[in-house]
Amino acid sequence: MTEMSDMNFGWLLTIVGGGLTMLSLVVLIIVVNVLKSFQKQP
Amino acid sequence: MLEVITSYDFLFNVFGGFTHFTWQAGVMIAIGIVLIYLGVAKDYEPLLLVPIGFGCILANLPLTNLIHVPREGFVFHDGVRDILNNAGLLPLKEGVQLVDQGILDVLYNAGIGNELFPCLLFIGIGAMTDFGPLLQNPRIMLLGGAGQFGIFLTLLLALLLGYDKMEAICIAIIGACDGPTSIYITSMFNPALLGPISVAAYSYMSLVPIIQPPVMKLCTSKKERAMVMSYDMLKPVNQTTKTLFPVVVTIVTLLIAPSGAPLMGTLMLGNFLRECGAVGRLVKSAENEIASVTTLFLGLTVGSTMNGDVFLTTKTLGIFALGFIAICADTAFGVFGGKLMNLFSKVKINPLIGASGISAFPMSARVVHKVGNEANPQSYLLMHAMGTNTAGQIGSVLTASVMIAVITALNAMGVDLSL
Repeated sequence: MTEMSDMNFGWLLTIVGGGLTMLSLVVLIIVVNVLKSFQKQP
Repeated sequence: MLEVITSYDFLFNVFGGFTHFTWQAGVMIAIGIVLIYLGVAKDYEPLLLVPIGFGCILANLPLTNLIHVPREGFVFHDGVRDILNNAGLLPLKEGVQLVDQGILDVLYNAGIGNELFPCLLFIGIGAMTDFGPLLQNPRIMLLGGAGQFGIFLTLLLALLLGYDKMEAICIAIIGACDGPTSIYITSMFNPALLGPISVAAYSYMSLVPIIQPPVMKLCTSKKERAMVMSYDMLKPVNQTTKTLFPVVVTIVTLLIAPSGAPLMGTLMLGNFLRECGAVGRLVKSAENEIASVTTLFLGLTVGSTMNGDVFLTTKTLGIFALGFIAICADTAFGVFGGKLMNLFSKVKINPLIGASGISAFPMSARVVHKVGNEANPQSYLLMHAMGTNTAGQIGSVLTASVMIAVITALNAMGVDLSL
């Protein structure tokens, strides 16, 4: 078993967790905009 | 006979309700009554606080044996006694008891221990949520992410204060302002904290109209709050886009964080049922019967985990304090996220709407609208804030999913997170 200090764990979760959350949202924005571009203009 | 009736053991057990009554039980019953009062008389999240309060009273009355908390050290007798006996495994190791399940043990094992209830609740929430305002202006989805950074700040604070890693995650997730997500994460990582975490989460959710406005005002100038947001930036979306959205969210987010499937999958399933328009009966069931029954069982069971020995500790006070910080920080990060967006965008937004990038739907959006309207009676932020609020729902589930993914990865790598 490897040990990890509390603060290392906290920063890892913050950087990776925050980063992946924002990345996912950016991907979603792009996909939604692509979907909207296929909409028929009224 | 008189000898029997007056003996200490006889009286101790016949009047066990009184003789086993402790001050901790008395305090917890009082807390249960306060929760019921807040729900019934003050209308603070009554659907949850009433069953939680009643569950708390039931579980703290002595000798009812409805539930065994904390759950370590119990093996539940479910027809296994004979099997264990025949296998020569009885008596169990020292300190472990074989007990009959109480009815709340049954509910706990059926829906909390395996995280089923929060997921069922998410189907109902998905069926009730309209992502239309978000799809009309998708870039505000980023504010639903910014609003989650209070979770990470609280995580770091909790670790600094000496909470262990799993406790810190459960405390930080209160900042999501999302009851089912908090319960899901706590059941998964530290079930012993289920009582304090869920009560803190639901209490603060109901206090959003009181907690958020001062933080919003502190983080913005009067001019920023008074800014009018045009409704022209909301571009209409057709039904096909609304129907495809939950499918797209499911695929994208679960490719990034597969371990979050129970949360995101059920939320988006509920929303897909709503938007596809083909399963009206299922939508009705999801948003009424399933959501109501699950809410009742979830609240009752969570309330029953509020045992005095577990709840009445300084740790609980710390959880409430850090939960409060988490929600304030989420609000502030959301507002600053809005300001940051304005630096890079031609079409400016009122930074207040960032404050609704949390999961307390639709209460937070209403609060944002009210604060904006107070600063400028010509300002109507409601639809914009509704969009950010639904983004906050996605953001909080996403953050929880990513956290689960990271911890799963660390476990797989052999990192000991208990140290």
